[in-house]
Amino acid sequence: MLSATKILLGSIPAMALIMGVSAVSTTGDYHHGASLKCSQCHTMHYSATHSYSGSPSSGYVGTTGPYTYLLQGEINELCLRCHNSGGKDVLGLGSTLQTNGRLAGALNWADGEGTNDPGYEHWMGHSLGSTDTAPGGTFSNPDGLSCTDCHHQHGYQGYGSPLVDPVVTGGIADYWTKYGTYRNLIGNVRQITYVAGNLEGGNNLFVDVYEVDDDVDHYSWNNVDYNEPANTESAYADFCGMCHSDFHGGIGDTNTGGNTANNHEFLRHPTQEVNIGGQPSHGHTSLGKWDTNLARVKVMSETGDWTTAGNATLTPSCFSCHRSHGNMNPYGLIYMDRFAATADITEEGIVGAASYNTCSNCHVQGL
Amino acid sequence: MSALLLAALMAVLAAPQDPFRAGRAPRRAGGAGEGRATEQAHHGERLVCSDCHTVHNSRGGQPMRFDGVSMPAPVLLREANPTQLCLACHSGSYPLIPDVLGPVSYTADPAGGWFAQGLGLPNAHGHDLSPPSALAAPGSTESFTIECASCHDVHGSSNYRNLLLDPPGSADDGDVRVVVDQIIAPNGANAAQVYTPANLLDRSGMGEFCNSCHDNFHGRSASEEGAQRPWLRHPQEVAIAGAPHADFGHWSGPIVNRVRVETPTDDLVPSVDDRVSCLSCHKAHGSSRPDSLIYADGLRRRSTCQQCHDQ
Repeated sequence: MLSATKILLGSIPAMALIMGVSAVSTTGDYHHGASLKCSQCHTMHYSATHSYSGSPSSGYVGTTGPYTYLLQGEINELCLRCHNSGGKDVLGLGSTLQTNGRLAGALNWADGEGTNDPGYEHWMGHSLGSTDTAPGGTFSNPDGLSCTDCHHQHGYQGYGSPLVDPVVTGGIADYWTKYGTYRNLIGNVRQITYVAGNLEGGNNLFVDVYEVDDDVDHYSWNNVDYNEPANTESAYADFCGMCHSDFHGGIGDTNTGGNTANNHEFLRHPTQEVNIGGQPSHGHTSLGKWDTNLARVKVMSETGDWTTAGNATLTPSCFSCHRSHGNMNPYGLIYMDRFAATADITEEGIVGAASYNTCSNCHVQGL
Repeated sequence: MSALLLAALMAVLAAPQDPFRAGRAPRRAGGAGEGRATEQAHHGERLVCSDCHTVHNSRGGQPMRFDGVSMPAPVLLREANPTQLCLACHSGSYPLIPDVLGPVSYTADPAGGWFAQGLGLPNAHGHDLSPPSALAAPGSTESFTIECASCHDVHGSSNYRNLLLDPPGSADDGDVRVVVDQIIAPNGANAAQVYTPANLLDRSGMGEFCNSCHDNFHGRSASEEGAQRPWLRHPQEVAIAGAPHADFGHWSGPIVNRVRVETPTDDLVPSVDDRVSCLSCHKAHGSSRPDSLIYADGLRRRSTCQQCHDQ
């Protein structure tokens, strides 16, 4: 049993130093390349009387070890040693020390696995420790849902396979230094690719995620947008569909339905291919309406323009409606009132909004 | 024998009376002209997508459909088709939601009446809901397969009861505005007070709406009502007051179970602006009487006629 109440580590300065060093020593996410430090997670002998700097206070091993793979502790407990406090808090209520926003929102504990912060319930997103079968799929982790079910603990730097990019001149070397797999997510057919930070000086439309900047707030809602390098695919939906398989598919697939004649008659909401305003004979969605939105959900764009009615390539996907970790709404939904100001967007969306407000970002029925 | 008749008459007279229809002017819940569209269910802020649609057809891995079927339905619906979806809530399962499938128990006199039980089976008491094939509309050369969405906009409209702005028949010209004010606005828990004739101030448009399909029954041409007296079909939207064949004196007297009329310019019924509409004689969905008729005294068809004509 772990508590989601924030752990104020005695070694916060040391942690901050590690994080700070990582930000300049590597491109993109932590836990790969130069910032992949074995001793942060592994112990050779299940013994930690002191740290590598000699400090007796920062050594850590779990109490029920030794553990397989020479880990210092149980996987979730080990990850949360750093990610339940400080600047990269992903569980329940964020830390007061957090400078980053949380685009992915907040995880919670499954029933009986830990104590959730007030407002964060097990039905509000992904629940660590859950042995449930994933809705819409067959996946379950008999040991309980863990961070490494979605994130590769050793990073995927260089494993990304963005579509052919004529800008790349450095061959595979550039791939290693510029491209990464977004948030070290485990890939399916292909990885969710991105260019860490702003290394190319702008948006590269051949990768899936556009991280505007790599500053202290680079995990925030306003620092990430989604490209659509192939207009019939969503790398993100492909990733989510590894577990929630019925929720993802192409037009006409048995699980999602729909027809290409008018992008209509779906059995489940499409997560790729179908553009806003792409149902001309039914008028279900409207680019004109999208254009008038003040606060918007995230969608994919082929052109790097996510706002204007003239862009007919905008495509919703999983992240349009859900925080991938969760939040304080059912299903980790984002309640986005299109009349609200972008400055008021929280992890839950807009305070006081409801689920239909999110639908109303694109759909013409109702407000 | 006369004592029995008297007792029957007294029973009719003792039926629940409508204080407004007995002549008291009510306070309106909203201004005339636009109905109370913003307070209707399935419209504006009350149009809740998840009431009818399911994005993934999953809730904890369980089906979201009201009928318990695990397969997802077209258009992400939570039932096999739109009419079944409507009836999942509007068939008496939820006491706070108006029931449209007879017998109705939430109120003794639902404004829209009710559809006969047995979808798809023909009946002589009103509109046939979900017939297996299209049926000819009386007064028209067109045929229709009546579903809930044939008359109501499932996503709401600015019309009374979310009626379609462009009903399916070809006899209407452009948008049809059906304007009805309510005394009590719906709040999700007061169906018995809201969906009754006593709560309504009919203003205009219902005749034109019905005319979309029953096009010979409304209008002033020779193929419809005729241009003037003598009428070829019963006219609508003609003031009772001053109509030679009507008896406004009788209408403005102490009538029991007064039928609905349009009152386009004031909030008072009876008054000089009162005029007959389709809903004066018929329930829109259906009734226990032939042709969806209203028997004002509960016994005889002529009692409805007599309210204006007193022949």
